[in-house]
Amino acid sequence: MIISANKANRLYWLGRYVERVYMTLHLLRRVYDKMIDGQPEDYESFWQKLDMTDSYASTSEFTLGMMYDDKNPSSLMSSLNSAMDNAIMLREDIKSETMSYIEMSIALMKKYRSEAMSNITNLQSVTDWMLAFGGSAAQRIDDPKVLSLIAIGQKTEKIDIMLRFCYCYDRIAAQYYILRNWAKEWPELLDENIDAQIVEMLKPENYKDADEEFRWRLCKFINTVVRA
Amino acid sequence: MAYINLKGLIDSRDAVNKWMERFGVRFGVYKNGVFNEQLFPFDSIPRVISKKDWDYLEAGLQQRVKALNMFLWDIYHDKNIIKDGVVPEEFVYSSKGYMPECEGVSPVGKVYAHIAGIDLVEGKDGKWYVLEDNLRIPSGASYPMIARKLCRKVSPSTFSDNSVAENRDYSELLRTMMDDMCVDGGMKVILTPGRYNSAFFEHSYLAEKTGATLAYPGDLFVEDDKVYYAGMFKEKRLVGAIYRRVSDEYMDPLTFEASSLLGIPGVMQAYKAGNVALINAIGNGVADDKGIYYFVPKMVKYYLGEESILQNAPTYLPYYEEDKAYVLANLEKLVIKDVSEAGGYGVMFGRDMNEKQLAEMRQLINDEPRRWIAQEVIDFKDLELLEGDEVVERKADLRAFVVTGKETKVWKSGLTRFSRNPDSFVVNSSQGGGFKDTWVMIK
Repeated sequence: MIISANKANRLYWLGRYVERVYMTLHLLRRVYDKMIDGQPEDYESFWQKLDMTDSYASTSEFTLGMMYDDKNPSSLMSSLNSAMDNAIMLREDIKSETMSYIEMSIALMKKYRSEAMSNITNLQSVTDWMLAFGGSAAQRIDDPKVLSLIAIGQKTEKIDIMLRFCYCYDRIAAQYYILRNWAKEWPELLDENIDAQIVEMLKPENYKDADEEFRWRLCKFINTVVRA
Repeated sequence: MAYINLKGLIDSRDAVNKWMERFGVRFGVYKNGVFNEQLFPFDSIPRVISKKDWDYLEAGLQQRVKALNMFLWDIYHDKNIIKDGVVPEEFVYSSKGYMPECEGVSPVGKVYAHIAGIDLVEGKDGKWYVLEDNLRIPSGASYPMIARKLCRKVSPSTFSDNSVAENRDYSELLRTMMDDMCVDGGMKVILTPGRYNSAFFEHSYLAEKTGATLAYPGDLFVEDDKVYYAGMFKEKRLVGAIYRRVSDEYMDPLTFEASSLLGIPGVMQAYKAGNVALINAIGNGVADDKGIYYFVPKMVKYYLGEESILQNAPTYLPYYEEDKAYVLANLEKLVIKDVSEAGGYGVMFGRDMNEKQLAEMRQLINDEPRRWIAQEVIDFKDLELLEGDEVVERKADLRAFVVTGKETKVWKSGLTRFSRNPDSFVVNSSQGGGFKDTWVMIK
C-alpha cells in the first residue's frame, strides 16, 4: 500500500501518544506510590524530567494536573486527545475497533475528571486499553508499513521517556534495536546518518550512563532519526 | 405485516448508545464559527417497511434515478429535453448546479449520479411521496449501517425473531460500483475535505468498510492529465476513481473557485480526458435543483416512456403564471422552499408567518418567481420513538440510497431521520434531529 507523508506522520505520532499515555501512567503510579509516604521531591523531579515549565503547588494538584489538565501537554488527558486527533484520521487503516480503545479511555477520563477522582490506581483500565490498542492493531492491520510506523512511534516515545527517567543502558539499547527491526520494513524511514550516530553511542564502551549531556544528545538523535 | 418483536432491542438501547460512543459515531456542527462534534441521537425503534411497500419503492427509485442520470447526460450533451419543450431552459441554465464546464464531458459509463439519496415521506394516507432528490454528495448511509451492526450485537434475538433484509452490505454496493467505474485499474479513494467536515465520521467509516483509501486535500495531484496519490519518498500511484465528498465548486481551483484548498488542481482536465471517474460527477446539481424536481415525473415519461411510479409532493412553480396565482392566494397553507438552499434551510411554512411576513413573501415570489417552489404540506405519518421511558410520536422522513455502477441498485435500508421537536417537520441532523435504523422486511 502507498502511504502519504501526512498519513505516515499521523501513524508515527499516534504510536508516540499511545505510548506516552502508557508510560506516563506507569511512571505516575510509581510517583504516587512514593507520595503515599510523603516524598514531595518525587513529583517535582517528575515534571522537571518532562521539561514542564510550570510546576503544581501541591501533590494533589500535581496528581490531578497530570491526569486531567488539558493545558498541560504531558497530562494523560492531553496525550489521549492527541492520540485521538491522529487516530480519527486513520480509521480505515487502524480500524474502528482499534480506535475504540482510545475513545473508551477518553470517556473514562472525562467521567473521572467530572468527579475529581484523584486515585491514579483507578486508571488501570486505561493501561489495559492502551495495551489492547497494540494488540488490536497487530490483529487487524494488514499493511506491515502501517503497523511498523505505529510501532516505531511507540518505540521512539518509550526510549525518549526512558532516557529522561534514567532507565538502565540494557533496556534502552534493547528498545532501539527493536525499533530498527521494525524499520526493516521500510529502510528509507530512518535517517542513516543519525542512525549510525545512535548505534555508535549505544555501544557498551561508548555509553555514558551518568552523563546527563550524553543522554540529552542521544534523546535528540532518537527524536530525529525517523523521517515521518 | 408480521408481528414485530422489539422488546430486546428497546431493553438494550443504552448498550447501543454506549457502543456508538465507543466507535465515535458522531457528526460535526458549526455554531457561531465553532466546530463541535456530537453523538448523532439514535432511537432504537426502527422504521419498518413491509415487503410490499419496499417492492413498490425499489421499482420507483430505480426508475427515478435512471431517468435522472439520462437527464444529466442529455443536459450536458444533446439537450433534447429542452428542445422538445419538456423542461424550460431557464430552469436549467439559471440553476446554480448547472456547470458549463461540464458541457460535452462524458463520464465513465454515462453515469452521473452514482450515489443518489432520495428523500421520501410516508403520508398518513399510506402513500409515499418524494420530497427531494440529492445527487451531489448525499450523506447518511453509514449511520444505519453501523447502527444495525451494533443492534445485532446487543440484541441478536431481535433479528432472529424478525426477517429483516441485511443492510451492512452498503459498503459492498459502493465497492462494486467503484470497481465498475474505476479507470485503468487505478486506486480507489474517498476524498474528504478533512477532519472538520460535518460528515467526517461517514467518510472515514466508508473508507474503512469499502477498503478505499481516505485521501485528504494535498494527497492527490495531477500530472499529464492523470491523477496520482502522492506517497512518501516520491512514490506515486495512479488513481482510477475518486468518491469525492468535496463540493463541485471546490474540486478544482484551476476551473472553479480559485481560492479552494480542498480540491485537486487540474482534476477537471483528467476527468475530461476520461482518465479518472468522479463519484458523483461534477454538475449534478442541475438535476437535484428544487425547481427541476417538479419536472422529474415528466423526465421519467420522456426518457423511459413510462409513467412515474413514485409521486412528488404536490408542487407549484411560481414561474408559471397559473401556479403563481395559486401560490399567492394560498400561501398560508403551503410550504415555501428557496431553491438555492439545502440542509433544511430556506424552508418556510406559510401557517407560521404573520400577515407582514406573508406580504413580504408574496413580494419576494413576485420579484423572483424562479427562486421559489411551493408545496402542499404533507401530513407525514408520525413514527414512534423513545423519549426516556416514554413512547412519543414525531415527524420522520426516509433517505433511500440508490447506487449506480453497471447496474442501478437500491440499498435495502435507508436513513430515517426524525425531528425531536414535537412541533417541527424539520428532521435534519444539523438542526437537532436524530436517526433510526430502517428495516426492510423480507416477507
